[in-house]
Amino acid sequence: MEENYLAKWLNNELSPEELKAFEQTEEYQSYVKLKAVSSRLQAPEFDMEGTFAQIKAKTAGDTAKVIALKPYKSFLRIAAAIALLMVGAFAYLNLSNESVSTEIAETTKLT
Amino acid sequence: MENVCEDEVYSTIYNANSKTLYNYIYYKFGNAEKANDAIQEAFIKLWENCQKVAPEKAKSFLYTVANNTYLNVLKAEKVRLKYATNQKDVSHESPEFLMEEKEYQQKLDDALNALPENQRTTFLLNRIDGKKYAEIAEMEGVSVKAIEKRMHLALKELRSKIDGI
Repeated sequence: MEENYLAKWLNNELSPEELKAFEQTEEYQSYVKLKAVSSRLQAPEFDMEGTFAQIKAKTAGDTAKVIALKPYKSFLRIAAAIALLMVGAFAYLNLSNESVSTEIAETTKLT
Repeated sequence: MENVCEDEVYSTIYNANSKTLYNYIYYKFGNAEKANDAIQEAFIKLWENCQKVAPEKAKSFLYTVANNTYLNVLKAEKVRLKYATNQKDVSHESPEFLMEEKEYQQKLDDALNALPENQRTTFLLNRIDGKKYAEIAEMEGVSVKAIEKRMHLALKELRSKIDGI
């Protein structure tokens, strides 16, 4: 008989002659039973939606780690704002071209 | 271009593959909880690599990751599978017949547990999930011929175990 004929039989691939020869064998009925019972086998229940929710929760966890840096970020923001104010003040006070000088006991009015 | 990082593409891949992937690992491990862990790991890996994996490659990526998990972590586990049988079509039969069926079922379970992992996986993917030999070959990364061989040996082995030869 052909190589791997049992696999071919299960897949209905045997030629009529081969099938006839196989039906004559004494183990044929055992295989028929095995085919019938195994076609009714069932795998355990798989909770598709629940598992997907768990996967989503775990992959979302990766993003949560990034969010943990946030306090530091807001500190940076405040520091940047203060630095900006200081630079602004410095520029305002020192870089303006207007210069005012007074002699001793003299007063000048700025407008 | 479609990208696995998009939620819609990702969940389509999940819906199309998760059940069979779960069964596939279950047939190998014989442990529902471990199978669940392994598929979660596979899909998380897919998410982490979503930029690198094209949607049409996602399936083989998942099976590769699942297989690696199996090889690395769970090989040593003792297999203890149980398969429910759909009894609807035999419920009208006599008690003797049902008894015999139950006995047969038990023998089949034992024989399946005793099979080498690759034969059991091939056999059950075909019988339970209705997968074609070509599809199983793709999942396992072997030729169709090799799957036919496994199937043939599985049938032979199961039959001799059940008939007590």
